[in-house]
Amino acid sequence: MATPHPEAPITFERHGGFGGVVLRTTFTHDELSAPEAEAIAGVQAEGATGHREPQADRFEYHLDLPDGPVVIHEDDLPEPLRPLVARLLERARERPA
Amino acid sequence: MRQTPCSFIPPSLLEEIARRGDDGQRDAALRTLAVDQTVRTARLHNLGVTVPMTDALRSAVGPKDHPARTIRDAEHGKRLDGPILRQEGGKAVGDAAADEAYDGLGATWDLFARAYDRNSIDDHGLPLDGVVHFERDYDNAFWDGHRMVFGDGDGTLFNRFTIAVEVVGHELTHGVTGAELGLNYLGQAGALNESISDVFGSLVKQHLHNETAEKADWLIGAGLLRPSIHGVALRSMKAPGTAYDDPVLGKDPQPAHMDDYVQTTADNGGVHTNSGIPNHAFYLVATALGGQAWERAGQIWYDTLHDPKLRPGSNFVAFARSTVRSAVRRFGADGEEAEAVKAGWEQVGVKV
Repeated sequence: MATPHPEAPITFERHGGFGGVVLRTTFTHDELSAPEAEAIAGVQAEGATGHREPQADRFEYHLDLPDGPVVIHEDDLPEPLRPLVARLLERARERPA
Repeated sequence: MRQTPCSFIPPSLLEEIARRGDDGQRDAALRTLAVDQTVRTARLHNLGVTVPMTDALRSAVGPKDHPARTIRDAEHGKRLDGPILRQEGGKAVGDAAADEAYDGLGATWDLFARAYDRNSIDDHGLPLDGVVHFERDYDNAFWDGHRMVFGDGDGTLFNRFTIAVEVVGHELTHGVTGAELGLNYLGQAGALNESISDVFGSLVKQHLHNETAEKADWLIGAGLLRPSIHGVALRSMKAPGTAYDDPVLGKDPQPAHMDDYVQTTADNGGVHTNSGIPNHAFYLVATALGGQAWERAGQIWYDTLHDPKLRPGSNFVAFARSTVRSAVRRFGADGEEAEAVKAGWEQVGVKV
């Protein structure tokens, strides 16, 4: 993962679900805990996201990272990223980007 | 309105009956298999061959007079094998999500059984399992290929997902579509997949409330949005693009016409967006025919799920032409049904 500017905004979106409603917000690298930053770097390095067979009405999380976009199916979300996604969804519901 | 009742029986089931049935069932299954020598290597329903459902075969397929429901509790986690909250025939338990899920599964089973003589999702009597209280703040419901899974909503944007019976009907219909057409979940095929679920989800609600096409609200997800959200539902089949307009959710993006088809890579090519076009076509057909929409318009769409000419990647035009063939086959080439179907598609810009 390229070293991002700690305050550069990273866009987070949730797509899909029954409603197909997009929830969107932004976050910065300096908001991440060490395990979260490591997990994001790992997801991007593995390059194994976004290749799952599409499943009806499931969620996908899109992260617009400095090295390129990452798509994570909800079932593939690494455990260390769950608190981050929960925080970002709460923020998107209160203060959409 | 229905013609002589018949069912599509896949050869795998016939072979199963032939192996496990009693003498009468075995004879009936073997006679049916002999209808077409190719059935040993091809799925009978994909060849479009219909065979009469004889009493001997019917008794071997499974109970058709009631669903077999089980509702479990995920206890706000991801477990799908949690404690049972309610089972078939049990009384209401006072847990709104569990009781609504139970009722919604039953209403969906009822529509397919009573209107289309279908024995559950797979037409083989599949037990209907539901899991409620999935995760925390989970604003979704889905069919995972084996069971329904319901979240309780996030309490900010969405209520619990069992609250709207058409949500249950929508999700279970993904199971029906998967069993019959296997439509891809991408692009126009994916939008058709979504639309078919909206069509039968709405019909589940209309059938439950014995509504006519004129009286139905044609909303998908009515009651799901919290009071603070500016909207009435997640989609409108009557007026796509008008279900909500809210600072957080944005504006309902559904088009009602091919002129406004949305080209996007998001959401598997806009499956929840462009489904507005076939949704509106169905609404136009149903209201043109009038009366109870599940009887003629719904029957035509249901017949289309069994069209051997459709493929997993079929687009709007292929599906539309198939609905016309279904209307002609069931109601005649000169009937008002075929004309209504053609007119419905033409009004949304899909040439048949």
